[in-house]
Amino acid sequence: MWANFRRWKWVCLLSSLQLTVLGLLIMALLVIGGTILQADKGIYAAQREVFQSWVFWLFGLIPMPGMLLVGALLFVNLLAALLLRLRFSWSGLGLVLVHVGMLVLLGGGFISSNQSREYFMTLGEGESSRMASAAREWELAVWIESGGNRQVQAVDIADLRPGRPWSVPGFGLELTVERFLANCRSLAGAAPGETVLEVAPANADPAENVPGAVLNLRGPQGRTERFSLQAGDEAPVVQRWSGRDVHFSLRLQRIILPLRLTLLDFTRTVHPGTDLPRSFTSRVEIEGDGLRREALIAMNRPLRFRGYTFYQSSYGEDAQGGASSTFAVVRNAGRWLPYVSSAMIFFGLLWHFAAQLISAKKKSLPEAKP
Amino acid sequence: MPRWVLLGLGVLACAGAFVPAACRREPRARQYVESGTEVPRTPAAARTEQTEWNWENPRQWRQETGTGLRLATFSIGGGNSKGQCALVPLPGDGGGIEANVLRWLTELDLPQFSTAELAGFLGRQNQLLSRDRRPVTIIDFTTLAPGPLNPSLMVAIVPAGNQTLFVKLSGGKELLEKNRDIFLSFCRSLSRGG
Repeated sequence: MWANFRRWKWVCLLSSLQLTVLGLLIMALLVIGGTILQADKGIYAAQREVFQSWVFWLFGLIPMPGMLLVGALLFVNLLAALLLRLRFSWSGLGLVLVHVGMLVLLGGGFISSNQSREYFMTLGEGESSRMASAAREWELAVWIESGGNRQVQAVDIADLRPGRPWSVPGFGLELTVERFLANCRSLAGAAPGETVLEVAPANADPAENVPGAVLNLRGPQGRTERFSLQAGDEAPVVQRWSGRDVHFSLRLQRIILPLRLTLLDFTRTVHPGTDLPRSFTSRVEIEGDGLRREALIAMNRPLRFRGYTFYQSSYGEDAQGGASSTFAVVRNAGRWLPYVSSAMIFFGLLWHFAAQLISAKKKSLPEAKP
Repeated sequence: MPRWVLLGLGVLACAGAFVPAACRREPRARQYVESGTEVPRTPAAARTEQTEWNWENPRQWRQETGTGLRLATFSIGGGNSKGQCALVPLPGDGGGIEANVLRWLTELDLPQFSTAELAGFLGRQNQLLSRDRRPVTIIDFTTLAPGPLNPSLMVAIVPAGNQTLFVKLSGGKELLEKNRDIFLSFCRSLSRGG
């Protein structure tokens, strides 16, 4: 059975070294192409187009495999080579480990690409917060206010497909996006307070867009409402439903962090004789898990707390000379996988070369003469 | 277990990772409680001093990426007659006008001025106002260049609070003279802040 299986052409192709080399070559070309594209279109567009896509169109005409497709192909290729070509024995354990390590590396890259989330938190000196917001991803937030707090139900706007209803949990409301506009301008409508959204050309970087949506709302007793929301509009739309004021807002995604961060002090040092920053350092106070302690966040010196990593991202100065510090807050489920895979590859190669050495030594020993 | 079964299972397991997300009919809601008074500042509120200068890009010049000390670099002309314009902000007065003029003379391989000559040369230079009403001193070295192809300079110096912006147009004398009006318009378009 096994011998027959290995005779199948497609299996040989799938597990072939030629496919590995081809995949690595395309990967290298994609890295070069993505780097060139980044100078022209910006880092976000280049990442989306080349590194986070399955297929993209070169010059808008030629279909090209994206990094996800090439990565998936290499993953299957390595898996096939591992299962069909390698010998599962003590002497072959090194190569098995190397292959598994590379699979973990590719899988980790895929997990990071899909699951990693980046948020930003900007604090002035003396300010504190436990909230961070995304730079490009938007959410539709629905809330009621009680006791100075907001009970928020939010959904990522990317998850709301036009025509597919969303039952807002705990509100008895069903919300449907009639139309989503990636970038729009608002115009005053005919009726007082009415806003009409006009489509604007979308920018390559979503951070430069102001999205909008036309929503249909269905409530108890079949009451329906139709209204539009424009992102970035600080004043939410408020409607009265079942005796409560319900707020609707299209805004940058927010997360509540498991800690409260207070910026105690921000220091910036510059290269002598210039205004070019050499380093930024933020002295912060962390309050969470029943603890309160001070920590430093600096360039190449992030703070890690309960699965979140806080990087020093940028800084600002207001007109009064007050400093503010911006942290990139990253949550990445696959954060440890590159370390695991590197260790596996290292020990795999060590095992393999040690096994080769021992085998060579055994062969070179003089034969015992009678 | 045969290896081909293992391979199939491996591929199926990978594909299976996508199925739950693809089959989800209802968007996944997130629930949280936020303080009514706590509004996150957006990163856009953070602004570095490097971005504080604004200007209008001249249509005839090609902007390149600003590197190192430079806020921006424009390339001018083409073929055998190329030049560039660079914007460099420096803290304080950037060394002072007199010291810089003497240094630029050395760069251009021109004879040094005596104190009286330097005062006379600076007295002949023009001043204009930037968009935000800051005085802009234009130091024009083209009058000193002996031939049309000799390297020359036009420098605009804009003091602005704790720093001074130097706009340095360099290239052959002829090219600079052709671009003089564009350079002056560019200097008038400069402003600092939001």
